[in-house]
Amino acid sequence: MKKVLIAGGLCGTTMLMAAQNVTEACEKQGIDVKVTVHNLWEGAAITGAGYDIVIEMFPYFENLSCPLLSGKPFIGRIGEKQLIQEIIELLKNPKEA
Amino acid sequence: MMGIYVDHSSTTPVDPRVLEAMLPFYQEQFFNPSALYPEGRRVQAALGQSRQTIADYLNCSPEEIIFTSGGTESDNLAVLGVMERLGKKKFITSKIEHHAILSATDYLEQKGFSVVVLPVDEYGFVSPAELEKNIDDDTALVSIMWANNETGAIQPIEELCEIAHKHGALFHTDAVQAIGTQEIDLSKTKVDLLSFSSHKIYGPKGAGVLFFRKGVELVPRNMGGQQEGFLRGGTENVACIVGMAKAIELLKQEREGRCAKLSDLSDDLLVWVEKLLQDVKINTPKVNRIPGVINMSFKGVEAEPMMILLGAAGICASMGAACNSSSVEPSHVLKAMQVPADYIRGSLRISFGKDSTAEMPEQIATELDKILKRIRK
Repeated sequence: MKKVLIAGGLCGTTMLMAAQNVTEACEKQGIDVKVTVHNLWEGAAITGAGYDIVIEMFPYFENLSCPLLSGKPFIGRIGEKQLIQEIIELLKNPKEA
Repeated sequence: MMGIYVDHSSTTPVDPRVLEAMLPFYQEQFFNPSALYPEGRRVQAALGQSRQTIADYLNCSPEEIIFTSGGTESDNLAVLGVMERLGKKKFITSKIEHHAILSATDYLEQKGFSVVVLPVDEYGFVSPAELEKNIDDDTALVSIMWANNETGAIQPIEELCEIAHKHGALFHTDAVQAIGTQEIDLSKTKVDLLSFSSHKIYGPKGAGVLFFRKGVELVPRNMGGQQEGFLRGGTENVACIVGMAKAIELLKQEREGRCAKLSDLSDDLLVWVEKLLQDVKINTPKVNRIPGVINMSFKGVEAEPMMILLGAAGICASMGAACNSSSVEPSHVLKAMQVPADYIRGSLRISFGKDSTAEMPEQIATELDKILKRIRK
């Protein structure tokens, strides 16, 4: 099972919708994925370790071993399809950070 | 105590001397002040003494003081209490008021009152000329805050009040942010109503005051009790009221010293910000501002990651923005001041306190430098 983390702040609803969109898109591609949403206000100690991809809603993480993508397209909805496509490609063809 | 607490505009720690004054009223002096037996009368006397202490500080009479639960209740009682009593239909306020006033304004509009919300200039000041342009003889009340909670800008209260009175309107001011640093003498400042709360001046949360000048009539919001002259029903929060009075007593003794220290701290912060940080806009005005509060915006940066990383570094500040579940909206105050779009989302308020240390300005600016470099990378 692939593991994706979406981490951000108070944009909780936006992150939940993004997680649902990513999950649905992966299912269509036959990718078994678990998408976790994390509010950094609840505990900024999260390191992003143990995920196949980390998506940050604003610049936060450093030195991750897995690919790190910006979740900004989920907020403005501009470029959201391309971002989801990029996530799917990365899950199909894993790359280091 | 955690690392660096610089969010005193949001709330202040309870001063140990205030807590000491409060404790008996949580313990052996728990009696209801409305009770007629001697123990109850002694608690009533403590309430009376607290009222006198606060009245002396404000230079008004004790009968002109209503104890409330805090600034929000005082603001609501002032605005709605006056507007629903007088026959006139117009209410005027400003775009930068606290939400307690702005929500009451929305409510009045829904009830059919006519409301005017005055603009502010780029430094957050209300223009007396703008008030003069909008006020008329059907105006019942004008409400303009004494000092803004986000930028610290001090409004020309006396001039605004004079204009209101010239047109036969009453004048209310939300002094929640001003009371801790500004001299408030209600024999000189002719406002008709004034709100403040205890937890901004090292007193407890849960207590506040509405001053209402003799002759002003109010429709109560809390009904069902003879307390506060039938204007605010409900058994009094004695311990917090006594604590608030003690906080006022300490403020009377220490206000000038506190102001001098707060001024130095905010001036030092500006020096360090200028030295270390780039693409920063200072939203707090250079003059007519309360000491100790600096609001600034950073170009091309979101406040949220700044706040999380500051929090992780042990620095507690405020991003002065309204948060809802789907996004972080820029502050209505900074929007009213028309802070540029590429700055407004990266706004931060630093508000020092009486116990802040001289090293904090440098520590904060240094940490901000690291965080901004990381975010802008």
